[in-house]
Amino acid sequence: MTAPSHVERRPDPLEDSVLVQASQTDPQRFAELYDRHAPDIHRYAARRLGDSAADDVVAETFLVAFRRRDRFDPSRGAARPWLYGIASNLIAGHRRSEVMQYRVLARTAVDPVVEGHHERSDSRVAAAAVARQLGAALARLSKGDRDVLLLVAWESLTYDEVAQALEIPVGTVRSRLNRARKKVRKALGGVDPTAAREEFNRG
Amino acid sequence: MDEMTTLRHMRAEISRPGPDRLTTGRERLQAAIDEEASASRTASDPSPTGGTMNEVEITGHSGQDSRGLFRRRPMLGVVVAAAAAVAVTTTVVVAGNIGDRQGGSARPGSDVARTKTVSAKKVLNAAADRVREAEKGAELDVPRDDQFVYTKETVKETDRKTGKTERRTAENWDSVDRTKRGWVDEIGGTGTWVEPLGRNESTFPRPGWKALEELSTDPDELIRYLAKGPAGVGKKPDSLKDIKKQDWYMLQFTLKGLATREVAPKGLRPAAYEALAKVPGMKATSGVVDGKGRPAVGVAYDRKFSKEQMLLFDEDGYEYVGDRDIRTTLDNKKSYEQFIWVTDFAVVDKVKQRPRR
Repeated sequence: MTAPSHVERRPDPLEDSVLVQASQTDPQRFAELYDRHAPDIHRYAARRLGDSAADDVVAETFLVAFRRRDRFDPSRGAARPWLYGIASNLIAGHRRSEVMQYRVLARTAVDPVVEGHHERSDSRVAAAAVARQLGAALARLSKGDRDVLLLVAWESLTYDEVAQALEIPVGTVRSRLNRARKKVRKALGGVDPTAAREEFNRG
Repeated sequence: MDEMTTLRHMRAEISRPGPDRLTTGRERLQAAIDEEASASRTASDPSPTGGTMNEVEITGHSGQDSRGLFRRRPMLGVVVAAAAAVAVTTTVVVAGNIGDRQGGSARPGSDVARTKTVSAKKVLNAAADRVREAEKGAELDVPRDDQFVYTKETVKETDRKTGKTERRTAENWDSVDRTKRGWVDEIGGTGTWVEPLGRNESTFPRPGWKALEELSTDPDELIRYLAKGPAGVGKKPDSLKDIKKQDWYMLQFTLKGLATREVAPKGLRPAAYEALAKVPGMKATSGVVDGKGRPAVGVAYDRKFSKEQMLLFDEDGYEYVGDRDIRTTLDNKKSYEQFIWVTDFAVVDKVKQRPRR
């Protein structure tokens, strides 16, 4: 797996399990889990679905997690994979709109999800080819492959964490990721990757 | 640059949201937290006060949703978490007293008549003896973890206003170690899949036969173990005297589940009955009838939202014969006197597979 492109401070997993356990007797403690993880979950959901759907996904994720907190196994440590798993299930409920947005991107080079996020006229035009190809590739992936690919690429989850989140064996994570990467690579076939990076970064 | 790096740049301009964007989700979570805290407050509050919201919420649990928990899954669930929440607040809810829907003068004649006094302790200890006698010499069909416990039940509900009675058969399949999909049909009539536990999920006590075997068959020790709660949450009390009132609510709930299991390691069910006999606040009511109209004694935890949830025992030998509850619909419009009793059970290999007879 490629190393994460940006280093993030991850909350101490031990603190997570302590919080979930404490919330069994003191539900208010669960709110700390929200403050700790909601920003990341929101960003992930927003990247897949756009801001307003992400608002819902985040709210629902933590409601579901709160109600099921007695089923969280503290020996697993971090709550992060668990929360990403719940969020992934909820994102699946928006699958049609997610795929439609990739298709729009593929067809028009305009990404509905990032519209209004930046004034980025230059980069948008410049990176059009890459963006369209990525959109087309993502639209064609199966849900399971897309979940694995984006959890690794966008959220820098490890294979183990993805396996935990999606409740699948690590071997399945590997094979899904391989398959998904192959498809994306193929879709990007004609593009000079170095040029693509410069174009993306310019925005 | 490989495709992963290219992908990483896609939509990278989307950053973590500012606090404003997260307010709604935070508020919704807070509402759920508050709701649970106030529900547990009301649940453990023996006084006849309670806000409308709390009543509806609790009725939902005790009437419909928790039915499955109560009988089938003696584990920490919604109710347990709710009960435990009392620890953080002792405020008594006094707003919006809408009267006691689960008792009082509106009670129709078909309901239980509280006549003779009988001690819950006596009934429960006798019930333990009955199980122990039945277990002696009986061959125990030990389920493998990959099997299912099948139960067939009759559910009888009488509309408390119109007196109209409906009766149906419910069949349930419980995955022994909860790694397989089960089926529960106890409430609602259409049945529902019970999803296996996920990777991060567990139950308390843990699923599986071995975990049941490891439970103590000494009633005091069983209570102390259960009072400790899921790993690391609580401290095992040195003595039953150290157990707080709010924890007894959870305990009696879990113990009822263990005591009334159809299939359990020998000694566990009697211990659970004897442990129930030690729960302060258990109350027996004689002069009730069971689902088939036979005279019975009902035993319930005498708190506002649990006092109608009775285990029924036959009047002569105090053998457990089924459950009785008052179920109120969530919209509060209808309420039923509900009886559930087991008519058949077996260990089977597959979900939806009926035992060969």
